[in-house]
Amino acid sequence: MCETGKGAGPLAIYPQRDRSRGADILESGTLSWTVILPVVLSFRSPSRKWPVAQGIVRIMAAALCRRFFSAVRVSGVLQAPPGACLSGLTSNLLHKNTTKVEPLYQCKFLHTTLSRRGLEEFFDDPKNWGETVVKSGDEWHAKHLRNKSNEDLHKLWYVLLKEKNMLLTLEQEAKRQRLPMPSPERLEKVEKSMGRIDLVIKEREVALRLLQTGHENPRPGEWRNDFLGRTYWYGKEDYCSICAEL
Amino acid sequence: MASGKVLYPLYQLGNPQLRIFRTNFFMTLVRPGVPQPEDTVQFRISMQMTRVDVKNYLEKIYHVPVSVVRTRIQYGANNQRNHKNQKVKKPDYKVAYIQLGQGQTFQFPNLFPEKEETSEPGSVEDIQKQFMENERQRQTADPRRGGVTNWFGL
Repeated sequence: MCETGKGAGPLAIYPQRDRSRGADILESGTLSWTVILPVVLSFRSPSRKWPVAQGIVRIMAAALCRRFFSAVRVSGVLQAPPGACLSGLTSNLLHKNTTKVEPLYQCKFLHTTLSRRGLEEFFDDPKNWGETVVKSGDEWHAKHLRNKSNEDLHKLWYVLLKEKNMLLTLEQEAKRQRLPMPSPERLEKVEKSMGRIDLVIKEREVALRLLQTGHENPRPGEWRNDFLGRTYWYGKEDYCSICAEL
Repeated sequence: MASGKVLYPLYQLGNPQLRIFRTNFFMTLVRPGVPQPEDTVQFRISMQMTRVDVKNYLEKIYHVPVSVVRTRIQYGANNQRNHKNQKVKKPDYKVAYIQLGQGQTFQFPNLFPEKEETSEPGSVEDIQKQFMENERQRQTADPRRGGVTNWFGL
């Protein structure tokens, strides 16, 4: 989970509402480069009628980002050692310079793991126990998720999965004690966010498949009519090509 | 390890092991109705989950050491009737009992503790409370009259 100094970060369970895109990018030091480039390129991308072209642009953008990001990283690493190796005045000057650059600044607010672990993650923060209202932010929209990398989406999926497990536990316990569940709208928010992650990943899969094979569906199939004229999807069976030859 | 209708690719000898990257199984930790041993945790899990799935789920996602998993299917109650006197069935669910490894114990916490209500001075609730207190004070009888009714006397 990623957290910035000011409130929820780019991988928070509930992102903050009404946040301008520019501010979001600039404040989150961790994901700045991976986020900015796809945004820039998506303005130039053609209309939605051409998913293939859009897919190409998106993949190119991702590749470009990765290259750019690695370049930045490498330069950051290369700058540091001379300062340590040289001695005297120059080293001091260089050292000062390197401290200003702060190559590790991007990793400063990155927390990939939670501090609390194990079965405690099935329960809410102990501060929220017994409250009637628990504040939460916005749900994740597809517009924001399209700017994230596949890895981030994967991480976010598990963050949301744990949150949903926690909410289901809370709901069940509230039902058992016959009390109102605190802020039940969180459950819907998490479910919608997870559905949108699925949507975005499927979009990417389809784009990649169209590039590689030219087919939109993972399995070949077609719409057919049966003897009563009803239309149905005729999906081709997955069969063993080696067994068929033998 | 995914619920719903999933089309897995046909396995042929030498293919890589099938992996699920985004599981859509959910587990609900519940307070056990029947008292359980200290190291046992009770879950409600989705119907398609197996014991192996539960073990992998807890160990890989939550990093909880699991020694034994036992599952059963709870029959949902069928004795309720609706306004048309038709039977209404509650859905079945699967229950998993998990024994924690490495000598860990678990106690279900009280998620709804009683909290003392402290209203801020000057807020609406505080003013309302003060008003009600004053009214109650005003409506109580005069103790000097010794319980004699109001209409009696000058």
